[in-house]
Amino acid sequence: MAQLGFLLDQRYCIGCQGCETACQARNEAPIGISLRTADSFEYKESAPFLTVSCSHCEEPACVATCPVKAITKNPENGIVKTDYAICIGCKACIAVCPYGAPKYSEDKKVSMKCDFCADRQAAGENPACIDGCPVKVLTFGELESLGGEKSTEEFEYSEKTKPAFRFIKK
Amino acid sequence: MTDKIKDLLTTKVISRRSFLKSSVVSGIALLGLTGCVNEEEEISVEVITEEPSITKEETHTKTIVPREKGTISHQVCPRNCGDTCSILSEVKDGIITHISGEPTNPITAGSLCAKMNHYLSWVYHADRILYPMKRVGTKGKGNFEQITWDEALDIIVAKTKQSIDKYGPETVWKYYFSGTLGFVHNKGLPHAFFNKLGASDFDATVCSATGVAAIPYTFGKDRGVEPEEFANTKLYVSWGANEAATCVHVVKFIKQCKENGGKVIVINPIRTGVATFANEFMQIEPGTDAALALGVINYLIENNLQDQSFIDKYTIGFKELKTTAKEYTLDKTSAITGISVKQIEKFAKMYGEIKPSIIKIGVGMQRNSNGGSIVRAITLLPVVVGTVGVAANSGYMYSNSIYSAPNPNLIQGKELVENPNRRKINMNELGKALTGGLDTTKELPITTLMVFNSNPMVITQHGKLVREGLEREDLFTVVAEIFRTDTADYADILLPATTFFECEDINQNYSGLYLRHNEPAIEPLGECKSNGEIFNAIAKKMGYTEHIFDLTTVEAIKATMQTETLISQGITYDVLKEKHWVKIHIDIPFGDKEFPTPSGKIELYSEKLKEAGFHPVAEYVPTAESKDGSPDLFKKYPLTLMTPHTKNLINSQMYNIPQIKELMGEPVLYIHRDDALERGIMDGDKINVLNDRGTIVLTAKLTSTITKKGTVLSYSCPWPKLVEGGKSVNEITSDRLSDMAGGSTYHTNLVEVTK
Repeated sequence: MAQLGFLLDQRYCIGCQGCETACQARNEAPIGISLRTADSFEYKESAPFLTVSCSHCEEPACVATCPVKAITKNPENGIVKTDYAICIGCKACIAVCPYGAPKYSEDKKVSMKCDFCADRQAAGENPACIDGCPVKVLTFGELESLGGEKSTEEFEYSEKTKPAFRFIKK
Repeated sequence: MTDKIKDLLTTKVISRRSFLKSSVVSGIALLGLTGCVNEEEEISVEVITEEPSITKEETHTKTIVPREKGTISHQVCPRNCGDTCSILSEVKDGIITHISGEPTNPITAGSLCAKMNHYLSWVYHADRILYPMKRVGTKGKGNFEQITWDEALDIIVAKTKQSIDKYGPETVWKYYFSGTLGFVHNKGLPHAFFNKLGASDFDATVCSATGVAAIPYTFGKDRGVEPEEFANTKLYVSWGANEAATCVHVVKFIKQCKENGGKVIVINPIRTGVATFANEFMQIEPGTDAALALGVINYLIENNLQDQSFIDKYTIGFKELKTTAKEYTLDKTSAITGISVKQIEKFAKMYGEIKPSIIKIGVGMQRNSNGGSIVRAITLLPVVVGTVGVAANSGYMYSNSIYSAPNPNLIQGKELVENPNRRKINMNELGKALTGGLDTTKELPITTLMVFNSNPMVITQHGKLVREGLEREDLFTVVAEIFRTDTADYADILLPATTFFECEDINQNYSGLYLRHNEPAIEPLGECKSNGEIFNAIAKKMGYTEHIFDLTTVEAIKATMQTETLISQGITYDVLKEKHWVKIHIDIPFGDKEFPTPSGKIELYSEKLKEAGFHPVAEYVPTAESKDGSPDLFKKYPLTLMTPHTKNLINSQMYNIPQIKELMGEPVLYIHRDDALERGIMDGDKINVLNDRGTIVLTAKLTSTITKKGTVLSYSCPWPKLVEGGKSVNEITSDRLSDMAGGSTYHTNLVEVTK
C-alpha cells in the first residue's frame, strides 16, 4: 500500500463543517479542539473554503522533531500517528508543523493529531471526516492516484514536508 | 439506570473513554526533559537523556487495531429538517458508543451533519431531565425538586380539573411543534388527550403554513419534485432557501446538477452556502421576491419566451397576467429588488430557454408579512415556461410534506371532540394569548398550558411577551422535555421525555420521499417516557377510559399506516421494520394534469384569491416593516433584521451542546461594513439591537458579502439562558401574522443598531 492522502474538491465545498464535527466526535476531542478545522460559510466572506487536518506529510517534520519519538510514520500507508501514551505534551510538533496540525490539549496534556482514523480504515471504514462530508467533496486514497493540485488559497505546499493533500481548485 | 450510564451523564460525555494510561504518563515524566513550550514560543527541547521505552521500530510494527463495532440499531433523525437522515447506532452494554449516517439511503448517503455528529453528547448530556420534578421558588429560576410520576400526575390532574371547573375545558391549551418529530409521539397520540378534554385547539402555523396556503391558488394542490431530481435538471433555482443550513444532504444533488453541465441560480438576501458555487447569485432586497417574479414573467412574455401551447391548454388568466406583469419593467423590478437590470435579464433569459428546470421555493422566504403573495407570484413562473407536469425533473419544490404517507389523524382521537367550534389559538401569538393581548383570551384566559416537543421561550416571536405570560402566577405550566430549556425553567411540573434513541416511532422526510422506522437503541434513561406514554398516563389519571389511551406505540404506528398510499404500495409495519426505510413512489408531479382549482385549470388569474382580498393575479406588497411598508417606523429603525436558521442548530436545538456552542461562537449580528461604518461600529463590538419590542445585546460581525447594506442578520436561535444578557434574538422579532394562513413573520423586522 502506498502513501495515503486527502483530496478536497474546492469547487463545491460549501463550508458546512460536517467534516470537522465528525472528526471531533470520533476523536472525542476536548471542547475547543478540532483535529480537522474547516471554514464556515456562515463566517467566511467568500469561497473557496478549506478544511485541513494533519496532511500525513511524506517527510513529516513532526516525526523528525518529536523528542520522545511518540510520532511515527507508517511505512506502508504513510499515516503519521501520535502515540498518546508516549507523548509528553512538549509541543515540539506544533512548533515545527507548517500547518499547525497538532493541537495541544490542556485536559489531556498531549498534542493531539489526526491519525487518518487508522482504526476505522482497518475495520474497512472511511475516515470519520470523509463520511462526515454530506456534499461528498472530501475524499481520500493513494496519493499518486488522487490527482489534483498541491497548493491552493490558504494552503501552500511545503517542499520540505511534502503534505499528502491535494485540491481540485475552484 | 446502570452506574455506567450515571457516570456518563455526570461527566457530560465529553470524554467517554479513558484517554491515557496514567502509569505510562508517569513513566515518561521521568525522562528528564525540560523546555516545554507554548505555541508562540520557539522550540527548545534540551536534553534527551535516554530513548523512550517504546522504540520507533516497535511502534511501526504494531498492528493497527481495527475499530471495535457494537450491535447496530437503526434510528431516524427526527429533527425539523427535510433530510430526516437514517442513523446507525452501535450499542455496547446498553450504551450507545458510536453513530453514523446510514450508507444506503440516497439522501443520507453515509453522512450526518455538522450538528448531529455530536448526538452522543446530546443523548448523554448532563442536563437531561431524568425524573418528574415540581417547581420550588420563583417561576423562571429553574429550581425544582424530584417527585414521583404518581405525584406529578396527581398534581397535573388536580390543577387541570380546578381550571376546568372555573373556566371550562378551553382554558387548557397545548403548545408543541417539532422538537422530536414522529407520526406517533409528535403528530399522533398526545393529541387524543387534548381532543377528549376539549382543550383549545392549536393552529400549527409557525413553519410552512403561508406557502401551503398560497400554492393551491395556482394549481389547486401542491406537487413538488423529489430532491434527487435536482441532479437531473438543467437549471436549478434556489429561491429563498438555504439548503446548506436546512437540508445539507441535498446539496450533493445540486452539485451534481452543475457537474452534469446544468446551471445553478441562487436568489436570496443572504449569501448562502450554495450561493458560493452558483452560476448566478442574486442578492435580493428582503421581501421583494414577488416583484422579481413578476419582472421575470414580464421579460419572458415581452421576449416571447413563454410556452404558449402549455398556457393555452392548461391555464386561465394569461391575458390578466400579461397586463399585471407589464408594470414590472426591468427598471422598476431592479429598483424594488436591488438586483441589476443586467442580472435580471440574464436570469430571465436562462429561465425561459433552459429546460427542464426546478425552482426550490424556500420555506424561509414565506416567513414574511407578504409571504403568501411572494409564493403565489413565484408559482406562476413554471407555468409560464410550461415546466410543470412534464417530467420528474421539472417544475418546483416547496415542502413535500404533501406526500406524507402515514396519517397521524388516525390516532389523534378526533372522534372524541365534542365541541368542533372550540377556540383555536395561533401558535405565533403565544405571547399575546398568555397576556390578554388576543380578543379570544381576554374573557377566557389560558390557565393551563401543556408544552411538549417545543421550546417556545426561545423559538417564539416577541419573547418579552412570552416571558411575561409564562411568569403569570395563575398559569399552571406542564413541560415535557429532554433538557432544562428556558421554557422548562418556567414549568410548574417538569416531565422527563425520551429521546428518539429511547423510543420507537416512524418518520418521513418533507423533502425526499422516504418513510423510515426508528427503533429504540437503548432503554429510556432514568424515568423518561415517550410523549405518547406521558399523555396517555395523564388521560388515564383524568379518568378517561377510551381504547385510544391504551394504544401501544406499535399499535399506534400500525394505525397511522392504514392509508391508501401505503396499502397500495404494500408497505406494512413489518416491511418497514425489516427494511428500516422505504421509498414512497409518486407519479410525475402534476403528470395527470389535474388541477383542482375552481376552473379545473392552472389559475394565473384567481377569483378565489380576489375574494380573499389579494390581487387576483399577483402583486408586490412591501413587507409590514420596511422602507415602503412603514416609512415612519423605517425612520426610527432603518435596518431589516432577518433571523434565519444556522447550519449549526435546528431551531433552538443543539445550542446546549458544548461542542456546538463552541463551533458557533458567541451570538453575532452580521452587519454590512457600510452600515457599521455609519454607526462607528467595529468588528467584535458589543452592540445593542433594538426596536419597539425590546433590546438585545449581540456581537457585531462585519461583512461585505453575507448581507447587503440595509439588512442585518442574526441566526435563530441561541438559548437566552446560555447567552450574555439573557436575551436571544426572538426577543425582538415580530409576532405579526403573515398574509395567508396566519403564518410566522420571523424576517419582517426593522431594528436599529447602536454601540
